[in-house]
Amino acid sequence: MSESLLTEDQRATITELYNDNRDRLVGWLISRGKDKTDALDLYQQSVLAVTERLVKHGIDHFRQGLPAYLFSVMKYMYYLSLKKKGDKSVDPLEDEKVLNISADIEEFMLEPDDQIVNLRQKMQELDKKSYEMLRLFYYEGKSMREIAAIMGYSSEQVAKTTKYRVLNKLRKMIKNT
Amino acid sequence: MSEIIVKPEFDEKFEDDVRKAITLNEREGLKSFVAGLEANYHEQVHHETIVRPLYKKKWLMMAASFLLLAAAFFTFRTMSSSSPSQLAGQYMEAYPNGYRPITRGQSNDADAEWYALTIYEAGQFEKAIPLFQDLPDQNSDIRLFTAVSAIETDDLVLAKKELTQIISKKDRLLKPAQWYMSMVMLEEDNVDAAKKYLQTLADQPETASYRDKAMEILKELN
Repeated sequence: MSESLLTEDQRATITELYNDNRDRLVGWLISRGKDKTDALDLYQQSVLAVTERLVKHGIDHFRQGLPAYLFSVMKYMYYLSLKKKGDKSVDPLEDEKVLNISADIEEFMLEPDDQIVNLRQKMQELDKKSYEMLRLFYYEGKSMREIAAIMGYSSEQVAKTTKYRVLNKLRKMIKNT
Repeated sequence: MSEIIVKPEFDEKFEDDVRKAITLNEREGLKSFVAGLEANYHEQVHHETIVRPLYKKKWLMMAASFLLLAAAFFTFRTMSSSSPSQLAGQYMEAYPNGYRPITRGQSNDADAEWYALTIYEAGQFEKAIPLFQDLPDQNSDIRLFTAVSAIETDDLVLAKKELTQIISKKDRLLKPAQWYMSMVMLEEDNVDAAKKYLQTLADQPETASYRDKAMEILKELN
């Protein structure tokens, strides 16, 4: 919804990660035949994927360290781009170094279908509090107990009930289109 | 009396789609942040290429007049380190616009917020202030840009007013607001108040923003 999701520390972490690795990783792509624009696009996509993981899972998710994780993500995306162009000489899944991030990136690379596009449109019609409830649960992975505390509900059960109401409302909105 | 709720039968696919839709929504915000990183990166490189020769020139000038300055310098050092306002001058930098990065080729002249940020990024702080103040959504980001513009144009009263608002909210811009408030306090020679804000920043964990700079200034002040 907005970049305000990033804390100041997260912003500083990603900014430092971006600046420290940009030349080396973009250079890595250029040395493998990418032109500068494509290399930069791929690098930014990789940083975006890492940023998303950081917001969703926190810094503890990156056991191998952020720069190593970023490089793995970028390599994985690079191999996928080769495969998409019909280059069968490289299979991303055969590269052991990127194996442990393939699941992370799988979700990132998914193309949205019509249902999801429709859902996104309908979500714009939800009030701010309803959207926040869904965001905390589905995006940040907060428990209903945590959500109750964050949003000021009197109990976990009230938060649960509210979530069902919001989902129900959303489903009705979809049905009426 | 509690209301009886009939739980709808939500299938897993629907919930999974909701999860994906929210992820895509949130990603839009992150995209603009990442796009801004490239602009920041270039700004840094550009800044270095401009600043370095000036430092060299400044150093040569200082070296040439070293004998004249040395006596005054050591006298000054015995009394105190750099004055508070000098320290503010050394450390004061405009807050980078990661809120809504202005990218080349973007054209949205009807958007007042975009226009204000463009003026801010161009360093036209005096002109930027009324543009920010006229925006209907006075969120913390906009208040911070107003405050920084005010510091840059020596309107410390306005800067304090905006920063106080942000600090009272204790949101994600609390630390930058405390940092710039310390700059205002240094400009005003209010060392005790500056130390208070700087100490808060210095007491953060090692990797936190502004920590190192706050510690450097505190060292100078003590």
